[in-house]
Amino acid sequence: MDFSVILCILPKGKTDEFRFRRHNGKNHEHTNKLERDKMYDYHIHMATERYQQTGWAEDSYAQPTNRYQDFHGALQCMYEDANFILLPNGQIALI
Amino acid sequence: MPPDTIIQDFKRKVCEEIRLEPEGIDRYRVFTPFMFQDGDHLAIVLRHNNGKWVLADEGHTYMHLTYEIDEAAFQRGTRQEVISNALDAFQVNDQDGELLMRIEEGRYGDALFSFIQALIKISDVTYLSRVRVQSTFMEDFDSLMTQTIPANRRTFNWRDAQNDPEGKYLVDCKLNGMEKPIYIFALPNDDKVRDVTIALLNFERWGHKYRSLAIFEDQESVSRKVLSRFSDVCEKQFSSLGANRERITKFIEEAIV
Repeated sequence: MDFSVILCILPKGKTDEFRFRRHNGKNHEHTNKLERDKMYDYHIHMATERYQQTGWAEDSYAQPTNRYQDFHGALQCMYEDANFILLPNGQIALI
Repeated sequence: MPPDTIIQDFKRKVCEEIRLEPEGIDRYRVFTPFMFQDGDHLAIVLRHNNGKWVLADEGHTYMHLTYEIDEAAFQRGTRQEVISNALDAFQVNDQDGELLMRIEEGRYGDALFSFIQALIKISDVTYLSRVRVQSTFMEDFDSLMTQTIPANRRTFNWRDAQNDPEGKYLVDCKLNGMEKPIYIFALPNDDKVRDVTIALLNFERWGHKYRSLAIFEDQESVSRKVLSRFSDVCEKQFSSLGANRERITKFIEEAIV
């Protein structure tokens, strides 16, 4: 229930990552401060210009989702949303 | 608006925003209006543990911190101090990364408010983070080695091909051409220091004949335990590159001769 799958980049020359997208679990509520709507569900944070302009974290805006219910589902969802191309046999086997 | 009405409004609003929802046997999720900077609310459960009711964050607060800060960074220095002080001030326990508060004498409300204050105070360590320009230490190290050591006497990212074909234990720059080559390492952080400690122990185990030289980005920023283990296996160390450029150059030039 408590997990986070994050897509971010480390801008060249900087030490802080910029988070594009964050797929969270359902163990806490979320409130979009600008829109003033609250949710208690699996939710996806995404980077927006308006939240950055207010000085809040770039990924403060989130939408509820029913597309996943665990970490693996959230990861799969990220692959789809961010157009990952998975290489065949990309993972090195543990044994 | 009369003060009594204001108080009524305060109480009503606070009561509305705090609620419990059952999540199984002797376990409730606690909903509050308090949130992190990104709009995620604090994650709090009330559960029964070994005959006592406890409030717990189930590791969420630290996980949330890692969105902004590397985990190692909030385990030392000013951030670690802020976290320790918050835990002590509000009598919250850190049990393997889970923050816990036992409810004593039926004082659920007091415990909740103290717990919330502790979690918020801990989450404030993110404001100690600064966006910094990335260090140029590794580039500076490469540049110094290139300027100081002739090309035919140096190898960057050297590995022992026989014992370490996969290159798990790299030497940042190997100075060769002597009876005992010098393995030179650039050390920007604790992790690299640990890795090099392991590498040097392996070189000893494999019977290498060598001398070792370490150049820290900032030796004072390395944790004491990590540094003490490293000092047992590394022969010569310079605490920083910038302030010791001439000494490092002199050391290497004398070794080359």
